[in-house]
Amino acid sequence: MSASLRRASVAAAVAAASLAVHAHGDEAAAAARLPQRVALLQRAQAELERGDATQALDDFERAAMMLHAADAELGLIRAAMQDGQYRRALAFCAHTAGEHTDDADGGALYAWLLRIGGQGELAARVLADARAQAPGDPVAAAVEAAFRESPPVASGLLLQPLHRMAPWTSGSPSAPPASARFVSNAVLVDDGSAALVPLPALERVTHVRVWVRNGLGQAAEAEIDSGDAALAARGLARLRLRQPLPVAASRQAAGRAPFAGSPGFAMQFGEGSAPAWPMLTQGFLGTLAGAADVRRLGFASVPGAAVLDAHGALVGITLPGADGAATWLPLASALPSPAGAAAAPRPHAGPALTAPDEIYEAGLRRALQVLVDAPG
Amino acid sequence: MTHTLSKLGRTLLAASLSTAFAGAALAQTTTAPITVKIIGFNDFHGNLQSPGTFGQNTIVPAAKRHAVGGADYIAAYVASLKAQNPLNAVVGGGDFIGASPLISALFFDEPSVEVMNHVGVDFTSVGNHEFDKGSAELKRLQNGGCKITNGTQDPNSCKGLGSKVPGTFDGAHFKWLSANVIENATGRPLLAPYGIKSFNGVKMAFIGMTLKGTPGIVTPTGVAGLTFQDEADTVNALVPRLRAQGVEAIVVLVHQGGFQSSPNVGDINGCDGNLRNADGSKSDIENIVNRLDDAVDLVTSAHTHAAYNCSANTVDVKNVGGVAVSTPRPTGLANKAGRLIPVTSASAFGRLVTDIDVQLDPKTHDVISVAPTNRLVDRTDPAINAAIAADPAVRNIVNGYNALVSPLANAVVATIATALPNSANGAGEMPAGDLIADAQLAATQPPSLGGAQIAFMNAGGVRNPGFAPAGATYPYALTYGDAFTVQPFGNSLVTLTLTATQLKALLEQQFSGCMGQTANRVMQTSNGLKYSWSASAPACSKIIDATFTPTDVTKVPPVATGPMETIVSGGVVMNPTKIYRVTVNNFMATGGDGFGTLLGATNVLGGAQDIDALVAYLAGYKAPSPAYDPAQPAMGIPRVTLLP
Repeated sequence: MSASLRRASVAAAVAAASLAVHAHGDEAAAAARLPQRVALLQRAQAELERGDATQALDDFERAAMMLHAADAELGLIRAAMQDGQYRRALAFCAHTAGEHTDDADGGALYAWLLRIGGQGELAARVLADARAQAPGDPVAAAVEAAFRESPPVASGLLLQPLHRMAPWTSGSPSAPPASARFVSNAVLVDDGSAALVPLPALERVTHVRVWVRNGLGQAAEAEIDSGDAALAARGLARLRLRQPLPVAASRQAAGRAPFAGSPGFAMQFGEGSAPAWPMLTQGFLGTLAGAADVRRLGFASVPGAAVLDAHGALVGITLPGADGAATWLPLASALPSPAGAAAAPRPHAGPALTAPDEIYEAGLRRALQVLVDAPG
Repeated sequence: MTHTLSKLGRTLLAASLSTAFAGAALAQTTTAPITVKIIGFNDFHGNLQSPGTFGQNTIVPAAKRHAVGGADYIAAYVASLKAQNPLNAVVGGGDFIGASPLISALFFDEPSVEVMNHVGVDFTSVGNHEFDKGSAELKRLQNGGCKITNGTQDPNSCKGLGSKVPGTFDGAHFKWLSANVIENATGRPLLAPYGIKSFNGVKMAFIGMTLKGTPGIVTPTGVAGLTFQDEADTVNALVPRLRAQGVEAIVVLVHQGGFQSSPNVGDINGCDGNLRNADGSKSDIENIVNRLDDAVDLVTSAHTHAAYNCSANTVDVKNVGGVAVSTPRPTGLANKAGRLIPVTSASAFGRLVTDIDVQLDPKTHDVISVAPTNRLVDRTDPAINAAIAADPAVRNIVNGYNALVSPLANAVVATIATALPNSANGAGEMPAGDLIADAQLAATQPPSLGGAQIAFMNAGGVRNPGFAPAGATYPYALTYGDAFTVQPFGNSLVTLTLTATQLKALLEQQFSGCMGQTANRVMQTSNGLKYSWSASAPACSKIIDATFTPTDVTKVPPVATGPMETIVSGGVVMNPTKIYRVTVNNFMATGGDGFGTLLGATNVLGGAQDIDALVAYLAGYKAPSPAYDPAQPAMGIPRVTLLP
């Protein structure tokens, strides 16, 4: 079955049936002979769409053990992403893209994951291969169109269940309404109960409800804390979350900012209101850019992005650059603490240069979308 | 004839009672059986890092499954199994490479080959993915040499982190076997059809094959000029040839497989449904085994990524109220003669290894019994973790490639006017070492960062080839990857206080025989410090003169900021109590390389990582700024002088 025929059948059939045929050629025929597997895939997809990543992973994996086909693998990859396991998703997607080459979905998803993980050059190569193998494939074409923006924003076909390039909303009652609109990036700090956001993003909006949402689709309503004059003087505002968002194993660095010349990373969302996976950019952290401990970033970013050090620890937030150059403020300056102020950066065991996939996974919970809506 | 009767006997007995079969086989031997351990895995697909969690079966809840796999863990598991029996063979079922994560794919899967060399693989069959990049590339991976792209060596090839020499690629020390893959031009197998190992004089043959259907699932260019022959026919044709060489024990490594089917729980040592398809039809692997000559004793299969163990060790595992209830059910897949042949598969991505104990009859040279067990490559095993800590060679290779995956590796950080190798002159000074010592001084010179005046770098920490990449032309745009190659350890800087007496002692301790030093270890010295040492002077009396000129190395070019002072003159410390702030790395600060003098330092302050300091320093020499040039007088080179 060709990819286009498969999509036609997906459009025509109910979701359960479409899962069974989200495989190609012999795989589709084999899948149809396995009703247990079809049921497993249905269940896994439903679990994924309601944000139950753990159970979805389990069921997609069981389905994968019954037949070596793209459908279960693509589900596994999206479930791993929903669970915050970017490295696992990326590694497995490399396999899926290389194994199931007659289905462009694997290549398109792999290109997307590479692009958001800071491997833009490779992403372009993988996508070009996928486009060459399936020139008419609408998913690969949509990915190519989305890649014209940086960060890319998934929309339309790329938000549909079987082709989704974004997390699902995790079903929290705090989820923002569909009418909520993106106004800024922000950074989740401390224990997950507060966020920092560039002040200019909020100066343009008044009398609104505010939400923040991370790269796993987890959202929380927030209130603007306008009482911190010191932060305001640095061009930032604090958001207090009504319910903390999980920080999991992600680390927030204490003490002095990273040394100029060290590798640095920024995690940011594009200007879309749907749940999204953030994008990583990278380079070397620069020297002081003037007063108040503002520093040069040395690579592209947008205001409000989470700045991570060479080992994935959160170290700061990007600022709107007065002269257009990207700058950032260390957390040690934005949120000074008596204990941390003079402390040296904690020595890190292991290699000095961490692969971007590890950084991405570390930053996935720290980067936030800020969404606003008129009060209900 | 004896052999034929033996096989026939086993066929009949296996169908009735496996224990009786073992007894009958033992009865015909006059000496003790030879036990050989075969360790197998398949479909690794370049998963140098853990592919995630995996359970013994589907009863194990996701939250309780342990992380599995990773090249370092595979290496440690294989080593621990090999330690149980020196008579062993490590084999693969194909797809070691191809469809692999970036950490392997970006470097043309050379990292996977290198780690498999370290694992000690003997033989592997080819899989369909071994042909992803064509047969010429597969031969390169087998034989070694760098990948050539557009007429020149590809920059992502021959990193050599796991090869004998950095900047090279050894190729596979193991043999890829391709009995059923025929080069049309020659009519011969593309690679060796089989390999033989001898155990206490008994030969065991391993025949390797990929699935006949490979051309249907690989790009046409990948299999151009090749013919893929029938798997069973290929094996059966080889049997007489092997027997002519005295081989009776035959193992088939085939990249084809099946799946466990209902009603059980897919235990890694199960053989649910005897690998029949869900509709009851025979699986691909069963169709092959059914036609195999009776001489074949074991089939390790692959391709489907499934885990199964169809053998005398098969267990049926059922979920009874959430508890796994296991029932032994000796089985196998029937061969041409109807004898049940053990057939195994170890899932994929390095999640499992199959541990197979094979008993050989020293008289007939044939196989008496086969006992396979699939084992999880469990990353939480304390003994395995201890073994990796004791021998981190494979982990270091993986970590090294993981760092090189970063796009930052190719970012230009400076321009250098000339090669700065890590080769020392007669006095012990290295061009690369001068630069590193200056970078470390620059990173700790501001008062808030340590107020350092002098920096020392241990020579052993300046790694090959220095700042002199192979094939570079000058001026050269130095990349972060180049710099990282020289400073890969992630050491941090430490600034501490030494008296002039301690400083002299530290300089003396560079030379063999002084204060426990076992070899000459001349440190690399920062700009502003100069000294001379006498080759003929006795240990601990070699430093003749030492001077210090305060120099601001954060400026480009560096600037002297004070008058020169004499620390040592004619071997005598001029002002013994005068103190100096000195920067070294944390390895040296804790007495590494025999520099115990540093343990007596005071006012110790931790600082940046060495590689960060290097990049920050080099930023001053990045275009459009002038290149770093050691010949500039402001660099104060040479800094160390050798006297007779």
